[in-house]
Formats: sequence, structure tokens, C-alpha cells
Amino acid sequence: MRLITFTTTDGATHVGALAGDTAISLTRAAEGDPRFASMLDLVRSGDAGVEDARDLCDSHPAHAVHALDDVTLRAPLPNPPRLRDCSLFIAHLQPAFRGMARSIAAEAADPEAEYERLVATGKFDTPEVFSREVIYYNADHTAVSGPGDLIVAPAETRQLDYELEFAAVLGHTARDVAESDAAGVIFGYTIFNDWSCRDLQSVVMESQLGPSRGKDFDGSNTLGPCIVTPDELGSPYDLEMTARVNGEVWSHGSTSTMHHSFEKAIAHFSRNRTVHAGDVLGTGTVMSGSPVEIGKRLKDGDEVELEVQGIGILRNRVQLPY
Amino acid sequence: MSVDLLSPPSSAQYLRWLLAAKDPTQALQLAADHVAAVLDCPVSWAGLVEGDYLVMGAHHGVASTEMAAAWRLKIGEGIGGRVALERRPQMSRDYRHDSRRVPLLKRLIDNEGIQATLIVPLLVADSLLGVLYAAHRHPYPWTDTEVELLEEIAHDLGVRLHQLDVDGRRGQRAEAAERRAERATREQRACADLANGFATHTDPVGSLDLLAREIGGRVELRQGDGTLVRAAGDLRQGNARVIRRTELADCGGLTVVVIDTRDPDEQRQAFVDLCISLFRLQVLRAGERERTAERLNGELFDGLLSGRIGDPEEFRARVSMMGIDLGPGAQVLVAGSREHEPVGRADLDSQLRTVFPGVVTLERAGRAVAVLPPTGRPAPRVRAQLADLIARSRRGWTVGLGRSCADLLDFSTSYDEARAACELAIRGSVVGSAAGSVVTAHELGILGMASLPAAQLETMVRDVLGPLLDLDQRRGTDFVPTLRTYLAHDRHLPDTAASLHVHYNTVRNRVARIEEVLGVDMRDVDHRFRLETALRMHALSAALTGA
Repeated sequence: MRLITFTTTDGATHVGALAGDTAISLTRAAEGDPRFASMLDLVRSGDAGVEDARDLCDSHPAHAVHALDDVTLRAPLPNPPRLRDCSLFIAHLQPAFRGMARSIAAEAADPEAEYERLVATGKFDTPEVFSREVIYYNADHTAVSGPGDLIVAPAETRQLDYELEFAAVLGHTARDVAESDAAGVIFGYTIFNDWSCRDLQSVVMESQLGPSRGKDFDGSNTLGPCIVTPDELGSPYDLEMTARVNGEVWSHGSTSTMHHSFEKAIAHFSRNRTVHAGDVLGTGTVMSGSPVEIGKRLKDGDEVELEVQGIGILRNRVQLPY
Repeated sequence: MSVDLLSPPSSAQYLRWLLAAKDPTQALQLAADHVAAVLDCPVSWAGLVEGDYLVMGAHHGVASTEMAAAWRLKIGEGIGGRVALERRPQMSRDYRHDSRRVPLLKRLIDNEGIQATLIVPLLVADSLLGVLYAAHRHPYPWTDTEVELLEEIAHDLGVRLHQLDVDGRRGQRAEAAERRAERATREQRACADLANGFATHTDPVGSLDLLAREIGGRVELRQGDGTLVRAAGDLRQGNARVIRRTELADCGGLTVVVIDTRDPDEQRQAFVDLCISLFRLQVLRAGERERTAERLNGELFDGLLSGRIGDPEEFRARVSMMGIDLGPGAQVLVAGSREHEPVGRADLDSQLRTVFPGVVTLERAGRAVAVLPPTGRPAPRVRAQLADLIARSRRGWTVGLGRSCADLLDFSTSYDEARAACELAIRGSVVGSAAGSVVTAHELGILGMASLPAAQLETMVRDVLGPLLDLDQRRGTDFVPTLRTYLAHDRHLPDTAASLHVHYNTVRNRVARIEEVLGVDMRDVDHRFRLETALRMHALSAALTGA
């Protein structure tokens, strides 16, 4: 199933499923069943809820079907209880750190010398801990935006970047999940754009307390366009990932280059701790998956499309103060 | 067995009947009757495709009304359903031992007493219209000849059904064509309305509102660097996406972006493109009018080049709508001629336009001035292209090139530099090393001085060189030129003497006198710096006030 959250012209929000060029409202088809009131309710309803959703997709009343053109897709899970962005890809970190060093050095009188000096400090190398364990930070789970939303960058930034990622949504609340059992905890997969203000980020990272306001503003975490269930997606570890800006390919990679798996991350996060149904685990950026790595910059009004094979296209425009 | 009795006339007769059939039902009935006669079987029927199902089209020899009314088979199911799906004949010699039968229809068929069927698809080219049945009420071994006969009958029927538009596709196509034609007419009218609207609108900004009204959705006008000039129109319900991004040719990088919540089909895309083309014409028209007005009273560029811009946003929008790109990297140049023949603005314009499309030229303070749009090329390359252009034109022009502008406020500095460089170069009073057809303030060593007010320049010159200037003026001496030459030759007495065509001792005496009059020591680097700066200011002041 390709599960979605959408609104209709009357302002009502539905949880539903994509079927060709239509959206089936599970909320309407289930006629008041509270498990289909929202995506989070559906996620929390467990395997039985997912099975019932499947049945509703196969057999539903005509008034539960909407033409896709008539509805607005929203973030499929607009209110995850927790949003971790992990470093499951690590190959991109070195070029990203070096890119930031280059941005900082550009302000100096002799940019090349300043860049060499910054690199020599070792602060712009990838620490070894990234390959040893699953590093993550807690993104703001209340700052979620969805497909088609205008991404308004904070007034103080002069360098907004997209980040080409995808994410797993957990379907069970669990503790001490073995890596071999972890696949059963995953509800589905979606695309994740971790918008980042590079200039703000490189300043606050010196605090060694994470990206802070560099990745934190209204709508800074875009999810969508749908959550694809594992049975429909197949293996998440061999999918093409592409980012386009105004139709031009800027980033291209594959999920096969992930260093850590979702299963490993779940085992890691649930060791002596509880992970919750609805938690979102971002993969981190695929190699070359951000303008800072490839020496490019977004312009005001640019349209950014992230595509992950088997999931779809997550499309947003940016409004920049520069 | 009747197969041997089938004679060519009966086949020809069947075709004639088919041709005479006025509607699909008649044709189907004829075929069912013909199958029964030719294959000598008691029952025959034709199923027609309706969505995912086969429904009864016509029948021969069916005994029960239930069979006629309720026979309905999903494509892919049962034997007939498989024929439809796989598009090849299937037969059952004995229904009682056939596992392919659908439980739902089993009762119907059994009630009819049917025990053997032969089924072929009704095809026209690649499209499936239905299936044709022949049936016996006892087990029956169908022969290859019978299969071929039934296929032949089905083929002829298929062709006739297609002619009779049994699936209504022709009707649908006609309706679709009519809808397209109606839409095309509507859109042509909309284009005419838009063109008329543009004709009566002189305001290019209002033109964008008109464009948005006709196209629907949100329309944005952006500069080459992405800066929003203006937006119009609202979005409907749905997920916003860019359906068109078109850079308007010859309009200084202006780009129209159309955002909508629905993907356009080919026809709508063509309509949107046409509307954008009309809008481009409007921008070119409005730009030309503004340029003409600008040429007549020069108010807009006067403000830009003198640094008096009231509202930068509004200024930028207005200039953008004229199709002029003043984005980062634009430069000002001033052209003059050593032969004291003024450089014509139109001449300069036509020369520059070949290499710098989008250039704006005007006259200011008796000189031809040009604002070069950002080229994206490195500064030395722009300079080299300019030098090459001037050399090729054989006009003997001297061009002062100002700094590259990052902001609107830089344009006045760029102009001052260009003008100063041009005037100095024309007078030959070049103090720096460079003297060519294209000169910059940097090369002439006057960077940072060009924008100083004349009175301030004069005061600073007098502060340092005052007594020497007075002496030269009162007594007709050549102390100032001597000082300039002496410093230009790095205090080398023989070279200075040779350059001035005077004796070595004369230079030495004059230098001693200069040191005495001005109270300076030529060995002191600070003193020399002050003198050098003042000399350049002096040359600049003379060039600008003389202009």
C-alpha cells in the first residue's frame, strides 16, 4: 500500500491510500473507525489495522474515492512522536564538512589558504565514531511539512540546502529488538528532506551540541508524498535516489550505499530503551545529496524534487531571503 | 456433419448479411445463427466486452431465459474468460470433466444441457471486442477445421462490429475531438482577450495580472538570479508544482514561472506557452517604450549613475520590466575619443550589442555611457572582449571601464571610475602603467578617488602641492611635470632627464627646489606616497573639470 494523508476542499483531513490517479479515503470508508482517524492512529493500530486498511482498499464505497487532482496531499505522518535523523549514510559526511569549510573560507582574504588552515584543524574530518555506531540527532518533530508546501527559509540565513534522504516509520512500540527481528517493527518508508541552513549550522556546530537552529525552523522537515509499506516496496537497500532543481538533476545516489541498516539502527535505539510506533528514522544524506557537497546554491523560487525509486517524488519550492 | 456442405455462396451470403446489418445487435445475431448453421450445432452465442466482464450480446438456440439474461463472465475466469484474456481459441469436449468452469455459471450451463463448447475471440487489430461460442448438448470432439471456420466467422464479425462502432470508441473519440475543438476555440479567444488587454495596458506590472488571470494558477516574474520581481494569481486546492519555467528571450534574463496544482496536458501546455509568448512581446514593447522615454529624459539612469535611488525594490522591479539586467556583475563604461570627436550613443550601442546583448546605452555629461549586463564571464575576459571589439571597430575610441557592481549602489561608483579612467586616458595624463583602448581605475592608480567630489579633490591636491602649483603658475616653471616624471621613473635622474629632454643637473636642481618649497624629503617613502597620491588626484581633477 501507498498510504497518504490528504485534505479535501471542505478542509477535512483523511488518511488514505493511493490507487492509480485516485485517493481512497480510509477515514471515510471505515465510517468512524477511530483507527483510521489519522495516520498516527493507523500506525498505532498495529498489524490488524494494516490488514483492515488493505481490505478497505480492495472494497470500499464509491464516496470514499477522490480524484488525486481534487485533493491536497499533506505530510503522510504530520505528527510523528519522535523524529531522529541518523547517519546511516556516512560517505557524504567528508564532502559535506569540507564544503562547509569552503563556505567559511570564502569570506577570508585568501580563501584557499584559509580553507587549508581550516581542514588542517581536523574539525572538518569525519569522526570515526560515525562508522562505529549509529549517530543521530533529534530533529524537531513539530516542524514537519509536506509535499507542495512552500519552504520559507529563516530571515537570517544566506544558504539554504536540501538534503536527499529517506526514512523508515516504525509500526510497533518495542524495547530490546534484536537486529534480526527489527524488520518486523517497520511500518513503511517515506522520502525525507532535511532542509538545512548551512551558514547557521557551521556556526552553531562549533558548540558540539548538534546542528541546533541550522536545521530548525517551521517546516524544516519535509516528509512525503506517501508511506510505502514494506511488502509493496521490497528491499529498501537498492533504490535509486535523485534530487532535481528546476528539473535539472543535481544529486544522484543509491540506498545500496548505506553504511548502517534501519534494522541495525532500531536494534541500537531500542537497547534498554523504548522505541515508539510512529517514530521516524531518517537515513541522513546520500553521497552528493546536498548542494553544499557539489558546490551549488539554491535560488529564491527554485523547485526541489526528491525522488526515491518505489516511493515517489517529494516536491517543494523554496522562498529565500537572499 | 455439415462442414462438407458449407459452400462458398453461404460464406458470401453471411458477408452480405453482415454488411446489411444496421447495428451491432443485428450483426451479432447473424453471426450466432450462421455459426449454428455452418457448424451444425444447436447452440451459439456471442459475449461482448463491458469493462472487466463479458456480457451476452446475441444467442441462438438458448432454451432458458435465465441463460440469456444472466450469462456474465469475468475476463480471465472460466473458459470463455480465458479466451478473452489470452486471445486464442479454447475448447471443451466434455464439460462434465472440465476443471476450468466457473461455479457461478456452472448451473446456468448445466440447465441448458450444454456439454461441449468451442470458443474463439472477437478481435479487431489489437483490441478485443468479445468472444464467440459454438456448443453441443452432448460431448463433442471439435475438429481443427471447425476451429478455423469459427475463427473465420469471428474475424468477419469483428470487422463489421468495428465498422458499427460496437464499443462506442469512435463515438468517444468524436466527443473527445469535439471537446478539444471547443477548448481550442475558448483558448484562442482567451489569447485574443489577452492580446487586447496587453494593447490597452501600458503598465507592464499590470500585464502580469492579466497573464495570471488567463492562465490560472500563480504566475511569477523572476530575474535571472531568481529574485522575485512580481507575482500574481492564486493557487487552487492541491499540491503546487511548477508547470512552466520560461526565460523570456532578449529580456535581460527575465523568467516567467507558472505554478499550478494540476499537471497540464499537451493542449494546455501549448496555450500556456502562447500566453507567455504574448507576455514576452508585451515586455519587449513596454521595455522599448521605457527605453525611449529614458533616452529622452534619462531620469531612471540618472538616478542610478548618481546614486540617488529612492526605493531600491521599486527601482529594480521597474528596470526588470524594461528587460534590463542589473544583477551582480553588471559594469558601467564610458566611451570617448582622443580625436575630440564625440562618440555617438547609437554607434556605441550597435557595436556593444553584438557581444553584450541586453546592454543599455545613454548620453551623460557629453559622453556615451553603457551599462553592461552581467555576463557570468571573468572580469579579464570581459575586458579582453571589449578591447577586441573596440580594435575591430576601428573607431579609435577610448573606454573607461568601471567596477563590477554587486549592488544598485555600486553603479554610481562604477560610473565615476569609468568616467575618470576615460577622461584621464583621453588626455594622455595617465599616471599608471596602462594606456590602451580600455582602461580601468585600478590600472590608472586612482581607485577610491574617482567618486570624490571635485572640491574635495582640489583641496587635497592644494594641501600637498599648493606652493608648487602656485610657483608653476606664477613663474611658468615646470616643477609639477618634473615631479611627476621623477616619481614615475622611480627617482632615477638620468631617465627623468632623458624623458624631459633637459640636462641631468637641471633635474637635480629642480628636485632640490621642490623639496625645499614643499618641505619634503624624497628619500622618505611616506612623503613620496603623499606626493604620488596628490599628483594622481591633480591629474584626475584636471581631467574631470576639463570634461
